[in-house]
Amino acid sequence: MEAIIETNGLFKTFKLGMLDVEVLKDINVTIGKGEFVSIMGPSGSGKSTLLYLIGGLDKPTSGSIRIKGKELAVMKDKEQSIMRRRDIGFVFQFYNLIPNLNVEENVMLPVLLDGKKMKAYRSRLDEILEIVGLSDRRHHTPRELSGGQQQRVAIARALINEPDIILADEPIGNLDSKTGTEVMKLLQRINKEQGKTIVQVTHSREAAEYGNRTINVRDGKVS
Amino acid sequence: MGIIFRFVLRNIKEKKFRTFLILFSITMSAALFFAADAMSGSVEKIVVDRIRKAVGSAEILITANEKSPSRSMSMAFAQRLGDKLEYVAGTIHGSGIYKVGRDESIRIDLHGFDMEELQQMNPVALTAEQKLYPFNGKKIIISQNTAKKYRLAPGNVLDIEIDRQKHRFTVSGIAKPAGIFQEDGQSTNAIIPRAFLAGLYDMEGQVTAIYAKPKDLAEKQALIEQLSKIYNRYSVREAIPEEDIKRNASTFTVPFMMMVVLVLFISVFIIYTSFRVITTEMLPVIGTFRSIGATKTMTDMVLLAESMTYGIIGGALGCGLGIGMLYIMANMLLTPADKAAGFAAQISYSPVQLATAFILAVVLSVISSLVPIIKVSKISVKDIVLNKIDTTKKRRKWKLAAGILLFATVLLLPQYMPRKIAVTFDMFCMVFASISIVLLIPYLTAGFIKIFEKAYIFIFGNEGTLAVKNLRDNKNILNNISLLAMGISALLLINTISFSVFKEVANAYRGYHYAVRFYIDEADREKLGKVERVEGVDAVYGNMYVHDIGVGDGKDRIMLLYGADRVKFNDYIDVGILGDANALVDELSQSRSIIISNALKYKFGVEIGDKLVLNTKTGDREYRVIGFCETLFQNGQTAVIGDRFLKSDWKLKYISEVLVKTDEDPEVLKERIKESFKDQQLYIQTVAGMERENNEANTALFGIFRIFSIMTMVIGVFGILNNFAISFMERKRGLAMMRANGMSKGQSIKMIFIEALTGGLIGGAVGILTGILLISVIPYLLKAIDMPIPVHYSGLLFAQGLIGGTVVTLIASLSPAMKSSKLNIMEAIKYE
Ligand SMILES: Nc1ncnc2c1ncn2[C@@H]1O[C@H](COP(=O)(O)OP(=O)(O)O)[C@@H](O)[C@H]1O
Ligand SMILES: [Mg+2]
Repeated sequence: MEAIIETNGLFKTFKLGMLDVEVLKDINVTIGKGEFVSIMGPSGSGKSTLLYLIGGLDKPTSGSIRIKGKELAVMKDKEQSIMRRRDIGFVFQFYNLIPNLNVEENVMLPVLLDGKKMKAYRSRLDEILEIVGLSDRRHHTPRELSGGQQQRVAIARALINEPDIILADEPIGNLDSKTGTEVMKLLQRINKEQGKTIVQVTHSREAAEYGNRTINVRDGKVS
Repeated sequence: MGIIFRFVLRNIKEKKFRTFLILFSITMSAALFFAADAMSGSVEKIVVDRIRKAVGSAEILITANEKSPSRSMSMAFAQRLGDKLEYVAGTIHGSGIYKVGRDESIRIDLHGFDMEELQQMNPVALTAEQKLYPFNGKKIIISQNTAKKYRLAPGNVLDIEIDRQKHRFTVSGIAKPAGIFQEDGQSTNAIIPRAFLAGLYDMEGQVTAIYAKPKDLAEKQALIEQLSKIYNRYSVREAIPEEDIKRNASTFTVPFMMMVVLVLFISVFIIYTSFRVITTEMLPVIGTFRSIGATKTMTDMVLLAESMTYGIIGGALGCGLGIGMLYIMANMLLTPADKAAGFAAQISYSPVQLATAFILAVVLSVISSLVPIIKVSKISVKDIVLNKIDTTKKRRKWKLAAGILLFATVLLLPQYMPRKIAVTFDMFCMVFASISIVLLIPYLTAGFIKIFEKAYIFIFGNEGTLAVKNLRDNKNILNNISLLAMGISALLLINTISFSVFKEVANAYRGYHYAVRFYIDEADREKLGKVERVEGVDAVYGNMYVHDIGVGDGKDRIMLLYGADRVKFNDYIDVGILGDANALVDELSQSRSIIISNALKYKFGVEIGDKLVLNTKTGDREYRVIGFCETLFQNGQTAVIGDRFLKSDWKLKYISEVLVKTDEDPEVLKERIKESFKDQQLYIQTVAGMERENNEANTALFGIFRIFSIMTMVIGVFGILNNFAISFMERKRGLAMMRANGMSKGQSIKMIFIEALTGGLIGGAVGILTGILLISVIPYLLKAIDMPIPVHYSGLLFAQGLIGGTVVTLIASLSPAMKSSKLNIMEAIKYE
């Protein structure tokens, strides 16, 4: 299996005043193309930090991260940004939609940032809104949607540019179990039907079941 | 409650910039209000000081006038009231020529005094003296300046020509620059024994002016009346005409108050918006406190205490700053002559004025914060705790309606206001205009955004589209646009007025169709003939006029009344007579008829054919209105009658001023005329020189106005900076989100700049609109304070407003743009 995400000797230290907190210690993981991986571990163990590092939203203290064979550390801000637009889709626990943009505009954000015309993505947008079941909500603002709906908008946004990788940080952590199940099923379908690589952080065993592999993090180490 | 207070205090300390902004705007408001309020007092003081120079401590002044049988009078009658008067002093005024060298001679104003009387009335301080007493014969006291300039020391002699006779005086005293010797660089003064001048002018026992001071100031008016009866053919009046000075100073304060009104409005706006943020921030805390039993009143009191604290601190600072500002303003009002005379800026204010400014600051702060505080106190605890408060700004129908209504009021009503309430109403219009714009800004902005949205796709690509979408209903941006609009409109307002005044002054001088004018004592035909013979003089007109004429019951006044020569008047002075000017002036010579300015027409409310009763020297006379003119001489308070009637009704024996036409350099001609009249008192000016002086005075005045408008803008800019800071805090998460979705640092900077650019352009455009609205009121306001100056719009000024506003906003957005690129995405996303 071809590796799409690789970390090598990854360390992350946060400075809290005088104190250095070592959050990640020597993380070496390899995730193959098409995998659906769940990162699990107790709260505060460094799961989110690991996920953000993989997505290039923060820099490791030392060690290397390769995405699709390319080393993140040597990429400039612009290249990393382009990678985030095209190769990676993010889904967060608190949905994180832009409040003053409507559903369509939120979904189209990565396209807009890529300097592409909205028009060219019309049919793709229709298709994705169909998949996440929000075709009838396209002109609503985030405020007018329920939590589950907002999370589905976030997933649609993660998919619009057809990235190979989706990184999700506790995607159902804020949803009730029924909506949570719906969202997990959606992610699973995307993994199976479109062959996307999905890495999710979760502390729910149930949610982890939807994936096909689990990585356990404890005290900043893979165990 | 103590713990809530501690929380508030911590908030004040943490939000340093916001605290600074609120204090700054309150301080400025109080300071500017105080300065404008006290300004009139200080202007009065400057004028009084100028007069005191000559009259010392005297309160009553008696001089000859047109009705008087001669230039002099006896002091004896006044001295008989000695038990009621602290002193009576008399002077004989004369002039002489001091020949310094072959080609240089200067005119000296000679003040003939009795030394004892003078020391009582206007003491002279000497730096050196020699055989001063007894002060008689040909002794002279000169100023330090004169002594230095002509190298004269006590004991030296100098020859002065008086009435074509040379007299050798001995310098007996050198005076410090004070009182009579506080010279302005243009005139030279000297004191000589009165008896000597009396002998020379054949005025034994007589003087040309009497100065007196009552023992009891309360009796001043009674004494003036008593003296008027004794000296019934002379003018007996207050040495310091307080009423006149007060009236003049108050026309001066109206424009200042106009600026203050704008500054106050901006401050209210800033405090109001800041408190909206403060109360929103405090909500969770208030919720917690209320859920554990604090009453609404308690939490309200805490917030009110906060705004009152701002008011008290700002008020105190404002009073201090206001005094400094007043000092600077008073300094700017001093003419170069004042400065040459060694006048320091004098300021005067009362504790009441300070207290008023202080109270204003507190009230301003409390009132502005009241609405947000009340709003918060209405929210139920449950909603707060469950975080169910909708903080988005809703557009409300009534706001649109009120905005349009106020706009229309400002635009349409001022022209119909009667003169009595016009000033007050026009001031309210300034506030109405500002409120209307603030109410309309969400709609105007939405309209502008629609336009920009289309254009930006082509200019800036998708970042442009995103930026425009971010602007929609963003209350921080709307606040910025409001602040910009108010700041820019204030600047435009002041600059347009000053631009118009300068333009009008230039226009007014174009109405003088001559090059040189001068005043000379007892100007008659013979003297006119002498002027005509001066080399370079093309033509001469002996102009006649009187000043400050009462109309009807005397309350309304005409400031300048010309007596026009049938033929020559229109050739020399263009008062902008409407219609056939020559025919109308000709008609003036037929019967008692009058041409009045449009400003007077508005003031008196008269039409052609109506009669005006003028209070003349020979009693009340009816003059029929036969025409109107468009002039700004004497602020437009000008009228023309036939010279025949001016002479007879006002018993004028002499020409008021001599107007001279020439093809040569007026400055050269001026010197020549001076030369040929060198033994006489002559006050001569070129038209160019007059214009220059007038412009200098206006420059000083508008310099002060500009300080006000720049202060307004500075407050606005600080407000904008604050809004950007708030906006950045609120948007951190959204920006991080965009970055997570692939927005590069460059893109986020670009987006923020486009937002600022758009906000700046809209703010500038709305500012121009507001400016035009405000300026539309100005002609009516100026008319109501007897300064009917037409408004000239300057396209350049408006373009500067637009560009300035945009640049200011772009600069203000630098910091948030930089911060956005340095944003820690992870932190911003993870923590709610
Ligand atoms: N920006 C930061 N600064 C300091 N400490 C941080 C920061 N982000 C995370 N941490 C710390 O790193 C540890 C791991 O955090 P995180 O990765 O969010 O854990 P998890 O997602 O597994 O709950 C925690 O102890 C947290 O307090
Ligand atoms: Mg986490």
